[in-house]
Amino acid sequence: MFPERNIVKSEIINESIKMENKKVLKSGEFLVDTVAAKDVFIPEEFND
Amino acid sequence: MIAQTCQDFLDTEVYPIMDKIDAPDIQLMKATLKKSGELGLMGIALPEEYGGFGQSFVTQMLAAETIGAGYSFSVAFMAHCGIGTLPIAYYGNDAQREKYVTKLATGEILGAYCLTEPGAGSDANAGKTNARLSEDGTHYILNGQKMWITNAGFADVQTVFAKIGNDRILSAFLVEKDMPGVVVAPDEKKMGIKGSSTAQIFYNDVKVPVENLIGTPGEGFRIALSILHMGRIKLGANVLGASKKAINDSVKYANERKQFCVLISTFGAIKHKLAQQAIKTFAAESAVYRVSKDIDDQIEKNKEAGLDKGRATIEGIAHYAVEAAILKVYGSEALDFVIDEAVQIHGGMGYSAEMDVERGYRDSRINRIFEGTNEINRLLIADTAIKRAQKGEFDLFGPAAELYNSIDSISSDKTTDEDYYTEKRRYMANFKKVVLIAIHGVTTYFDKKLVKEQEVMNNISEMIMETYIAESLALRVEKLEGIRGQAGIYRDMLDVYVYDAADMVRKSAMDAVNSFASPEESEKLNAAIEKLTKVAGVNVKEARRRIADKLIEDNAYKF
Repeated sequence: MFPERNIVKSEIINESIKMENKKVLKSGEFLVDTVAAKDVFIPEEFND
Repeated sequence: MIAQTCQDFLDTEVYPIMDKIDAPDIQLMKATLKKSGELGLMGIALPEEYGGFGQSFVTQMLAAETIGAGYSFSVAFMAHCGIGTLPIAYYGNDAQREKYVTKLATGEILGAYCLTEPGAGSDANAGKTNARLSEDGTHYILNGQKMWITNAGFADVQTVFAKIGNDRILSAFLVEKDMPGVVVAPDEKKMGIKGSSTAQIFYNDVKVPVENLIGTPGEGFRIALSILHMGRIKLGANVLGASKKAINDSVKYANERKQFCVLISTFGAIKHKLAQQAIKTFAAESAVYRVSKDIDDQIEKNKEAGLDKGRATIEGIAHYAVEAAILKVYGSEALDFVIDEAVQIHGGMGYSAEMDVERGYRDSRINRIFEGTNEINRLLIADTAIKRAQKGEFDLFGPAAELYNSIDSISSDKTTDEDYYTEKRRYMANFKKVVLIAIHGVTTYFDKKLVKEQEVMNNISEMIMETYIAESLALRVEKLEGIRGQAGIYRDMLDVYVYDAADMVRKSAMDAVNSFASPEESEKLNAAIEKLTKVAGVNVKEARRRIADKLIEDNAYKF
């Protein structure tokens, strides 16, 4: 199993990627709607 | 971190024995898989109550990306953790989950997914494997043949799709390899991923207890499709990891190899290749994690609506079917580009079996074939988007008709005072307008026959895919600049990507409208498409050189 420290860290990751009031589009809806950059998750947010 | 644990496992347990695994040595593959299970790597996606770690979908994708650099091990591992385990985890009942998933989570047993048959590949529901209920109603008698089954040589439990009696739709069953009548053929000899076991499995009057039916009778096709959505979206993460490994191999070699007394990494032609490898990979990555978080959000919504965690997850993934197909097609084709250029950068050495890129080149090819061929997935992109709009999930046809009917007055909406990101947002909006114009044209002209016009469907899919990837990249770079305060090299990536994407959108749109429009209409439509895909000139040579220079300086993909 993972060392315990890894589990704790991954829980922190899960917490850190929550974005409040995010606008979520349906599949394919991006064709007729826009998303703001702030509402998109980017991989750099794992660390930032 | 989980990604680091996965990377450490590849570095210490997989790469040192990769040649032996690919010899092939199926028992060594099995032992390595079990080792990964003992370390907990197989439980990342599974709920805690069944021995897993219940990680977010984003975290699952990060782990899938890391493992994706593991060549044939990656294929065997992902087949076990994904299609081999998740049908039971997501659709099984508590008893089935307790009996199998807890052991699959630790690698105590290994899993396989048995859908494809000699006459049923892309047309999955055409399978002939049959399950007849016994007279006493205690078991099904299974007869049939499956092929191209990953992990067939050692999987202890198989999810087998078959039709009950005269049903026209599939059901799903849990079959154990030791049940009498299960016969696994010798492994296939393959072009690549040689260490993964791939074989046919025959079922001859296999008695499968009725309690081994997954879900309800006739639910198998839905399960199969849902699991394939999941498989193809995770493949989008796997190929990302494989691409980064190939880029690292490329730049390291280019920084060591001298010709004409200088390192080949100083040559513009090599810089062009390195930059293109990085741009495509970075763009794919932007879309992969954008969708992953959208899926996490949808899973939460599904749970709030009362679905259990398993169903909430699989329905959340299926919700993003269009994007899943985009990630599969774009990612697998980006990897093929990246690894092909990796071989080219290595020159003669790239053709040598001593080099990782040679293995990568052979292993990459399967990604365009399995988890639904790219041809099927391309059709799915356009077809699913159009069908979901037809069902009223969102209004696609209203804005599309409006644009089409005002084609004579269409403009690029360029203003004199737009800043960098305003300009990029306008480009994205215009690409979308082009997609809508083309969709209105082809759906109006071909109507119900559109589905048979596969070339036109491909044109539409290509536009949707390029637009989604470009937009994901633009949004990432804009957000990144907001976080870090500068985004020089990332702006270069975005500039080059959009400059190229505009050409692809324009070409696909013109191909689509020219397939039905009269000469007069075609002229009008092409003029509008030309306006909407016009982007500012970019010094792509210098932009690519700056991107390549960062790769060369870091001697690795560190974007």
